Parts: sequence; C-alpha cells; structure tokens
Amino acid sequence: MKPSLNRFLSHNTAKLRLFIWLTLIAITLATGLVLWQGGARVQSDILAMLPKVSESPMTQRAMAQVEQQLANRIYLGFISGNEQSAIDAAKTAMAKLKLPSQHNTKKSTQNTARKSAFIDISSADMAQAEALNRYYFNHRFQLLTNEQQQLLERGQWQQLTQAALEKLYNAFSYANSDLLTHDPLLLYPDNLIALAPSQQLSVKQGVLLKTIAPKALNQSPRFAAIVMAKGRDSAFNPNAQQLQLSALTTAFDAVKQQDSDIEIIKAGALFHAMAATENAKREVSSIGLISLLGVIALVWFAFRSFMPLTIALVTVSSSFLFAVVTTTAVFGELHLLTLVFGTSLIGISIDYCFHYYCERLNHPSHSSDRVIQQIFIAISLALLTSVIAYSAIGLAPFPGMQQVAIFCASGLVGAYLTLLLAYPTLAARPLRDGNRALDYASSYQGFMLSLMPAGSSKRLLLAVGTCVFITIGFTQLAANDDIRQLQHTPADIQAEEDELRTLLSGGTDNQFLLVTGDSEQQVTDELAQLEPLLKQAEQDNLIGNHLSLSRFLPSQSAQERHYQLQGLIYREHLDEILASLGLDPSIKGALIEQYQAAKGNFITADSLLNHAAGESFKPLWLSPQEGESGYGAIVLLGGITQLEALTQRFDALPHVELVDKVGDISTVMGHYRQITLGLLALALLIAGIIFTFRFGIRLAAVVVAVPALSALLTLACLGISHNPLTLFHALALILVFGIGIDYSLFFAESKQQTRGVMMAVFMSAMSTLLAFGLLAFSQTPAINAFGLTLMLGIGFTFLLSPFIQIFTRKSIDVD
Amino acid sequence: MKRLFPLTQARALALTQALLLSVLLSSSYAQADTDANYSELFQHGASSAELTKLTTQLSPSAQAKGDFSQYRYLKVLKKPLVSQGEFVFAKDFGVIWQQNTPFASTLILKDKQLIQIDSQGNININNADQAGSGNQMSELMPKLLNALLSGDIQQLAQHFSLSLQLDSNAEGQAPQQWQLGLKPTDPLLEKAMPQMVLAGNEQIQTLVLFSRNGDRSRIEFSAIDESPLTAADKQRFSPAPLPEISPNTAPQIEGK
Repeated sequence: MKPSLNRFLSHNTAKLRLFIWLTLIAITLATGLVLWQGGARVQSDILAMLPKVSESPMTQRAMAQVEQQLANRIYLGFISGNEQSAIDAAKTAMAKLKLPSQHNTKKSTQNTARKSAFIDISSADMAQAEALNRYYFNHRFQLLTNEQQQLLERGQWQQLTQAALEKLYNAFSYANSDLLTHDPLLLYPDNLIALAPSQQLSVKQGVLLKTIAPKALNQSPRFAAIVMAKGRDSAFNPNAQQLQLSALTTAFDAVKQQDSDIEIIKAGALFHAMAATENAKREVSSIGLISLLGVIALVWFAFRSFMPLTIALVTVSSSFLFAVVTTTAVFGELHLLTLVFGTSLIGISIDYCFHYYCERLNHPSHSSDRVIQQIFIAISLALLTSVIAYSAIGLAPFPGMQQVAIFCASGLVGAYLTLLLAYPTLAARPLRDGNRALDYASSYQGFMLSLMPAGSSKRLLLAVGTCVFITIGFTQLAANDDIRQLQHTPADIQAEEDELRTLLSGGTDNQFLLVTGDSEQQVTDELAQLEPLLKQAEQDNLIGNHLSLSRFLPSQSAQERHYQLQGLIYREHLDEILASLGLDPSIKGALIEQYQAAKGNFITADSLLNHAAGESFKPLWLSPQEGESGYGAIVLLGGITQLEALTQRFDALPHVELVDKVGDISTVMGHYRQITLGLLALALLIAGIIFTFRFGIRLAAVVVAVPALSALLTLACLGISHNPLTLFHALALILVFGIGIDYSLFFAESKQQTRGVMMAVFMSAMSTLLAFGLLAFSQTPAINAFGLTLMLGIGFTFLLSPFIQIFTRKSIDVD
Repeated sequence: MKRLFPLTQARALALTQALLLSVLLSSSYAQADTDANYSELFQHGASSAELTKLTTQLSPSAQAKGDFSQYRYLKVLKKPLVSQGEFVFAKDFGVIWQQNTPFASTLILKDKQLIQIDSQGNININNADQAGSGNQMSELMPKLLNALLSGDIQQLAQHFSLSLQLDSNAEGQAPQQWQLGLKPTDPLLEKAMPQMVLAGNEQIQTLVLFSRNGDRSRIEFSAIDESPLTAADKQRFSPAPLPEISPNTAPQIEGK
C-alpha cells in the first residue's frame, strides 16, 4: 500500500473524511431534490426497458406511427340480456367519461381548464361515417365495385338498370330522389358499403352493438355495447393511470347504479399496465421489506449490538441515495424495474459493512482505522470487480438494464465511500465480544473442508461426477428469447380482453406489412396488387383479418378506368336509362355536367388524409420527410396464426416488408444473451489477470475458478430443471460473478486468518440470498429468472468459496 | 401470434357497414321539405290506455296473409311506381313479402335470416343479426309487420314514439277507425324515415312512409285472412332450390 494512501486512511484524517462524506451526502441529497422538483419520476412503462432495434428510417417511422395509433386505447363492453340496457349503459359511460376529471392536481385546476382523462370517446363513429360519405360521394365517378366493373366492361348496362329498378320499387331501400338525381343507377351505395368489411356489429342509437349468440339453444341472446376511448396521457404514466382509473370507476359506478345487472368487460394497455404497476409495487415493498427485516435479524444475531445495525442502515441508505440520484441524473427518470432489481443493492452494499465488522470481531484490539487499512485492498478489488460486472450488464442495449447497471454501480461506490470516509468516526465504538459467532463460522468452514475427499482417486471421481453433471445439464439447456415473457398478465384481465377481442372480430397484431415505393402511384399500385394475396392468406387461415388502405385509396389507373367505364352510362345510354327507370329527363343535363366535371378528380392520399374522412387513416400512410424520397403504406394484420409461413409469402415481393418488432427485439435479446455470456468469460479472464499480479497465477486461477464453476453449475441446474435460458439469466450470472468473486477474494486476501472472512461471507451470502431468493418468487418472469439464477449462483459460490483456503495454505507452503 | 402488449387493435380505424348504410339512408344530397299533412296526428301523444285499447281492437292473431298494393311517390319520377303483391305472416315462422307485379321479387324473414329473391330468381341470404350485411331498413319492415300484425304495440313503443288519433265520429261503434303515428327513436332511423303513419280499424289498412326529402311511399293492405297457414304457405318460407351460401354473404366465421 502506498504511504500517502496509508496516511489518508490514518486516524488523523478521520474528522476530515467525515466532513467530506457529509458534504457528499448533502450535495447528493440536494441534487436529488432539484431533480425531483424538475420533474423526474418513477417510470413504470415496460416499453422503456426494451432494446432499440436498428431499422431503416421508414420502418422506424412506420413502427412509431403504428404504436402511437394503438397506444393508450381502451375498449369497454357493456353486456346485458336487454338490448336497450346495454345501449343505455354505453351512453351513460360515455357521458361520464367525457366529464372533466375530478382528481386533477390543485395547481392545474386553478390555472388551466380541467380536462377529461380520456379523449376520442366514441362508440359508433357517426361523424367519421358521414365524412366518408361526403368524401367518396364526391368521387363517385372514380369508383366501381368489381361486379359493376365487370358488367360495364361487358357492356351490360341494362343489367345495372334492372337492379336499380328493383331497388326503386323497394319502399325500404336507400333509393330516394336525391340520390337518383346524382346517381341514377344507384352505383354509389354499393361502393360505399364495399369500404367497410362485413362485420357482425350493428349500430343502434349511435352505439356499436354486438349480439352474442346464446351458448345453449334454450337461452336468449345477450347484447354487448362497445365503447372506445384513448387515454389523454400514456397508460404507463402513474399519474395518468390514476386519473384514468378514477374516471373509469366513476363511469362504472354510474352504469351500475342505472342497472346493477350489467356486466362490464374491458381491454387495453391501461389494465395491463395497472396490473404490472400493482405487481411491481407489491413486490418492491414485500421483497424489499422482507429482505431488510431478514438482514436486521441477521446482524442482530451475529453482533448482538445495535451499532452494526445502525451502521448497516447508514451504509444501505447512503448507497441507495447515491444510486437513486445518480440514475435520475443520468436518465432523468427511474424505472420501477430498476428499483426491483436494485433491491439487490441492499444485499451487496451491506457486504462491505459485514466484512468490516467481521474483521473487527476477529481483531477486537484493532482500531477502526486499522481494520479499514487491513481490508482496504480486498474491498477495493471487490468494488473494482463488481463495477466491471455491472458495466457488462450496462452494455446490454436495454435502457432498463443500463439503469440497473448505473444504479448498482453508483450505489456500491456510495457504500464504498461511506466505509472509507464515515466508518472511522461513526463506527469507531468497539464491539462486544463476538467470539461465539466467529467460532460457529470457523467450525462451519472446518466442516466444509472435511467434506473434501482426501484420496486423489476420490477427488478424481468428484471431478468426473461434477463434469458429468455439468455436461448433462448443458445438453438439456435450451434458450428462449421471446420478449413476451417480460409481461405477466393476470388471467382475469386476459380473459376479459379475449372476450372483447372476439366481440370485435379479432384484433391487430404487432406485426404489420410495410409497402414502399418511389411515388404515391407506385405504393397504391402495390397495395392493389397485395390485396388478393392478403385475401388468399385470410382464406388459408394464415391471418384472421387485415386493414389496408387499398380499399380507401384505389390506384389512379383503376380510378381512371372506372371513370372511363362509366362513360357507357353518361356518354352513351343516359337517355335510355332514365327512360327505363321512369326518371324525369330534365335531370340529364346536370348529370352529364357532373360526370364531365369529375374528370381527373382523383382520390389522392393528400386529399383523403387531410379530409375528416381519412383522418384516422393517417397512421397508415407515410409521405416523404426531409431528406427522404420514398412513400410507404402500412397494412395492419390481425389473428396471425403462422408467422413464418406468412413471412415467406411476402418475402418474394420486393416492395413489401413484414415488420415484426417483437421478433426483431427477441432476436436482439438472443444476440445479447450470447454477448453477455461472452462478456462473463471475458470478465473472468480480466479479473484473473488483475489477480495474477496480486496472488500469482495459481491462486488467481483458483479465485476465478470459484465463480466460474458456480456459473457452470448454475447453468447445468437451469438445464436440468428445464428453465430455458434468457438474457436475464445471463445478466444474473454476471452479478453472480460480481458478488461471488468478492467471497473468493476475501478468502484469498485473508490467507490463514479466515474466521472473520468466513463469517462475513456467510452473512453476505445469507443477506444476498434473502434479497435474491425472494426475487425468485416474483411473478414477473424476467425478475423471476434473475432471482432464480442468483439464488443458485450465490448458493454455489458460498458452498465452494471456503475451499480456497486449501489453496492459500498450499501457496504459503510453496512460498 | 399474440401481440406483446395488449394494444388491442385498430378497431377505431375499421368501420362498420351498418354505420355506412345508416349514413346512406339518412344522407340528403339536396334539401327538401317534409310532408305536413299529418302534423295534427303527431301532436297527439298516445297514452298507454289508448294503446291497450288499440291492441284489443286489433284482436291479434298468430298468423295472417293478404295482398298489398304499394305506391312510391318519388319527386324525381315522372309518375308513381305502383306494385302489387302478397304477404304471409306467422308468429312462429316469420314474414314473406312477395311482390308480383310489375316484376317478381320476394323478401323472407325467418329464423333471423333475411332471404331476398330478385327478378332473376337469384337468392341472397343474410343473417339478420349480422346487421352489417343486411339492410337495416329491409329488416325494419318485417319487424314492423310482425309487431303490427301480432298486435304487439309494446314492441313498437320500444323503437318508436307513438301518437294516436281515434276517429271520433265512429265513437262507440266498432270497428273504430284509427291512425297511429310512428317516429323512430333511433336518431339515424329518424333521419332516414322521420315519420310513418299506420291506419286501420280492426285490421291495418294502410302504411305511409315519409322520407326527409319529400319522397313518400303508401302501402295498402287488403284481403287479410287470419286463418291458420296451410302446408303450402309454410313451404314458401323455404324457397327452393336452396342456394349455396356464397362466401360473401355467409356470416363471417371467426378463425379458431
């Protein structure tokens, strides 16, 4: 150790160091307060944890548009045996949801007009339907259904006339004087109807209604009234979540008051987010609390004093303070999952405290400064390796994981600084005699060492047995990188969503088709050509439904053709048609005028999307932005059954791309799982090299071998228990290395004086297992994977690390 | 393939046919005045006692058949469109509305199916509760007939605001003449067909439909026979040959 460092760690500077520490804490606290005042908050959006996938700018924009369109929507179903009750419930709910929210913050109620928690509250969108009618009626001469087109191509205008006549005679049809003066053959209504796919939904009193067929013959049908809304703010924003929830509760209460028998079902990200938030909050509080209580009990049991407990609390709190403030400063927010993973920080930061106190217990006569000088190297190396391990985690492209890395690394630095700066003053009081605990530790280690077989043949057998176990485990090891496992959805929420999805004839999947072209004309042509393929895919049960702009935005060539074909009516046979229908011949002039005026009046993306009719289609169209030249259109897909077969089908088309963000992210996850495992090997190697300078190559190899073997055994166990490997397992293994290497380091540093180390390692492993063992009970699969791996890994490290003494003894013998 | 996050779907983008049809029916591409002949009638809100009286007077029967004549007065037509035909109604079966002149076309509502047969003999079957594929107005007529012929005024009251005018001259003497005014409560329907007037004594005699643009249709019922249906009548509810249900008209079946 350098003399200057020794001088710094000497007793004389204790006061100065405490002052520095207090200043640091004060600065951190102040920074934290400023950040929090500045709008930093806990983020619970699971999307924020996902890695960024590199895609072309067009694809990225397409993804963003689709996401924005779909995000924050909720769907409500009001089910009753009485049609009118269902409709009334939907009406009441809509009226209530439109009211300004009552739970706004005081500030905003005074300064700004209060707003409702939801926007776009609608059932049947009458305004849009009317806008569509206005828009397309104006373009009626550019439209023909397939049937109409075929008849006109064959010159069979008489057949169209006959069909019109039949409609004319039906008193209940849409044939009326107004329409006839603009469209004598009544061609337009069929074109308008063709815009909407056939659905099993009806509209009554402005409410979207679905009749649910009875399950048994003797039951009567039930009716579901559908209401849709979009959250004003993200469903993942906790405040917005609360606002939206209370708005819904108010609405549901009003509905229930009106009709207590009504059944309400709901779907949307909001309800998943709420469940996730609840779950995470519950787990943070329960796991954090139990972990803390366990640690307190552990300390009390070991030291029989409140002093170490107080110091431990100071260490953990200052470590958490550093962690929270640094993370917030770097990211501007704190992810809830970071906090969940971060509870493990309690387990690690407290290790330093344990190590210090066990060393003091072991050398009761030594002063606080002396003890710190003794453990300085071990603690510093431990910090170094842990930070290396966390940096490896931070390399993963997950913003959430980067947060965990920064959070834990800065927290550990905080604990380390606390030990160096504050302990000499704060923890100066000598401990009560703690030999009993040390004796337990010593006899435990003696017992463990006695388990090691003496004979070389037995040792060989043990080695072979371990190898076989690891080999078998590895052959069973599978990987699963599907990111959907990140999400844990309670069954009841899923059931309600599935029910609504059925009512609404399926849903839209995350995968979609992106059609690109150099011009608008090319894209609309591509869309038109794609349509039959999509219909075929629907027939082949590859997809359940699709939504393409092709229906709404026919190619210009088709529009021109439709216009020319209608010339047969307006240029050649109008007199005969009007006569056969018995229409007043005086309308002829106006009709021809309308037809001629409509020449070149094409439906274009610009005119449609900027019209009220096409507003909701905007997310499906991409026009070139600065620096780009291409156009694009999105085709939404629903009810995909075989993604691979579907991908193959569209692979051959040069301008069509199946965008699968979920699949892409999963691929990235798999990629980083492999990289992480590679990094683990690299970290082991680097640690080995660092340790070689201190311990010599042989002992360094042993020190590294303990966490390495633990990692192998953990992987084998995961394989044998059929837990498919994920990135989260790999990340946890890095942590196992970071923590586990501390144990072997402490043992290697202490040479023969291992009583204190054994006790420290025991306590540290216990506290870590308390924290992580509980994570293994988390319902969120990712956290569960993390916890399980750490439980196994730390367990193995704890069992293996005492054996290092065998080698330190030998290396001393050799020396 | 399920989605990662429950971003349920883009239903907001999708439209329902029912909605577009409703829009079509209610759209007015030009302005026109409404018929004011019956303004007096529509000022007489019907009391439940009056409606009960009307129900008894109609002496509802489980079935009825008869002839109809329909006159369509469209402003754009040089002369009214006149058609004749027959109808069959049975509470247990449904309604057949069959036009015979000037050309044949038939509409059958049964078992929640709407069957249409055009002048060429083409048969088209729709599921009635799949309102998107059926024409809401075509559905309305059989329902109306069903309610009227079976004297189910209560069912009418669910969908219409009713007004009633009883012929005061004939007070005390049965059968009393009456006029029932119907205004749809559904705003869309109201736009398309703001007023209907039904008139009769023991039986219904005429139905007049008014549309907002001044078009008007008058249906006269005659030779109403309430005796039980014959086997031949019942047979007519199942038009032969039974057509193949084409993929376009068949109810969409959800993929499982």
